[in-house]
Amino acid sequence: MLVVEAGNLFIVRAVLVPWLLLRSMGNIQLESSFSLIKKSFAQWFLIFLIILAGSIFGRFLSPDDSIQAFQVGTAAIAILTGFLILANQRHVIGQVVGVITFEGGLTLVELLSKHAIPLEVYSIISIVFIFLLLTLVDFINKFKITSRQDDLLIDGIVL
Amino acid sequence: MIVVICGLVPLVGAMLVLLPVLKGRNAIRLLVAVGLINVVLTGIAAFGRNRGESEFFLFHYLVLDATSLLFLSVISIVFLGITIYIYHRITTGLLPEAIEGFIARVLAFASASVFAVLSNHLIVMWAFLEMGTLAIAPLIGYARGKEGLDASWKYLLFSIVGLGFNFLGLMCICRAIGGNDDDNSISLFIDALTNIPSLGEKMWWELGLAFMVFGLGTKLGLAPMYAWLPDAYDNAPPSITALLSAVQFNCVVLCLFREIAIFKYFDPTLVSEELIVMGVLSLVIAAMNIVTTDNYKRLIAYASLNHAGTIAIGLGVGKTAAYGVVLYVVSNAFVKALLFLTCGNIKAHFGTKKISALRGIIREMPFSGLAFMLGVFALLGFAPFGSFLGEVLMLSSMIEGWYILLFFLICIILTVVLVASGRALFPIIWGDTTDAASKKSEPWLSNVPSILFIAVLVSLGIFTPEPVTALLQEVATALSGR
Repeated sequence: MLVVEAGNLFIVRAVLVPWLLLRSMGNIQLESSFSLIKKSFAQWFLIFLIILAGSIFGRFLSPDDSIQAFQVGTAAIAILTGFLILANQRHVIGQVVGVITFEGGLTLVELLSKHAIPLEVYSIISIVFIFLLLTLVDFINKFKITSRQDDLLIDGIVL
Repeated sequence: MIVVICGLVPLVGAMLVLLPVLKGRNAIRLLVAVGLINVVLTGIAAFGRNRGESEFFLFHYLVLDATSLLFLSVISIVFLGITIYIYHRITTGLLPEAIEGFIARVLAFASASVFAVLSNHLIVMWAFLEMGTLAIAPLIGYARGKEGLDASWKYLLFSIVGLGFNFLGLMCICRAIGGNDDDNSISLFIDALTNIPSLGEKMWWELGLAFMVFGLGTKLGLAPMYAWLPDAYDNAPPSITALLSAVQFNCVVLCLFREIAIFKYFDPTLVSEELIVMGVLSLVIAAMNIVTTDNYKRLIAYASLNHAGTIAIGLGVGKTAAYGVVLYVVSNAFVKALLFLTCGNIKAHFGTKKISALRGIIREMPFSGLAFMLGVFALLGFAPFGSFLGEVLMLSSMIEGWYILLFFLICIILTVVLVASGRALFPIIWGDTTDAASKKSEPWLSNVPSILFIAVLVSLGIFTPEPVTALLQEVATALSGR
């Protein structure tokens, strides 16, 4: 079981995700055209609030266990951050980043579960995630073909 | 084991379509054959099942009980109708012939839907729902350009988030069940959870339950996460809209049924309140949009939102409304499939989706006009259709349960929807045409799905065979929980 979990974490999420995204974004210009602090101050402030809320949430759910409170808080922060990115991004790549952040939060929650998920069910979850990635990449490619290239520039990403 | 084959047949079909030997018309014939085989297999499974019993397959991961049988029957019949419609569209040149990818995805979606309906494990059910979503999402924008692509992307994002919340809820339930001791043997098998004496830590499972209902509500298109629904339903090809609204919608409703049957026992008010709030909000939003839209396909999409809201309220009201909810859900699957497919025929003939541009279709397209008229009657909850009976049963349950304010609120909203839909859709059917109407013969094949769906709808309202009534009652009893 541990081997499968490690495989899922390191091969799928740490290698496959970045590789697929880099490959699909291959010919998109990555020059930043935003001001790091000034224009996106509200976003930074929101993220600060999310981190604060996540930490309080973790502490609230596990008041006697600081490690678990930290883990739960981190998962909540990842989910809320993913949500925030999804909510304020108009660009496809930004939204894909939001989805992956959101999914990362879900994976953290899944890993925190004391309840053992059977190996076959865990494998199904991993397969679904791989299909999700392939679908996202498929959509990025379709957007590249269909729309103007300018629409796909990631200058909207502020985080 | 027959029902397992029912799920495997479309999957094998999807793989075969991708082979070089099955191209063009052969691929389309295979699609119809799969639809037909699934209906036959479901019929055999239904006749072979003993009333009140559950059969388990594949190490307990799949189950054939009353609920899964009812939904399997509904999606199999609807799927057959849709395959015939796709066949007609392709053979008459309304869709490109080289659509092996399209057919493979439709078949993969059908397979995922069958397995989602048969699942006896909450995570496995979630996984099949997600697989179905991933299979069908690219088809929403099929041959529809940038607008279609945007709609399918929106659908995908909302679905991922909705199902993500459902998964998060499941993990919270896991944490609640397994949090107090080292016993990991408690599983998320539905039959095991149905008899579980306690869910453990209340805070965790309440949180989980709230997430699950919110997540499935998003997938059903309930407010506040409904924004994907009108765009996706409007932009998708008619066959895909019918698959989304009648097949996938019912798979998600089944998932909601299963979760409610398990968890309502532990906290009836939490589930009821969340469902009623989401339902009422959906009804209000649907009514406002039905009044203002000038697109008949979009109007029916908003009517679907209205239905989702009514179902959520019915589920929130609880035990006494259970039979009405089940009947309403089954009827609406056929109503939506009928209407969206007929919309496709009308759009193909007139080339417009604008309400103001269409008048008197019944004179120009007698059969499609008649099918559209009957579909609209069923949509608006007129007698003798099953949706009428379902709605009446739900409303009377509200009175029985002393949900008086809710009853009046729903009556007002439903009246607004009735008047607004009638004002927009009736002139399309009977209105005076400005040009000389040219009566045109319609290909018989385009009418086969409509005849099939109308027959089922009328039968549900006027004469329901005893085994079907017994099955509906069994599902209603299961939905009421412990």
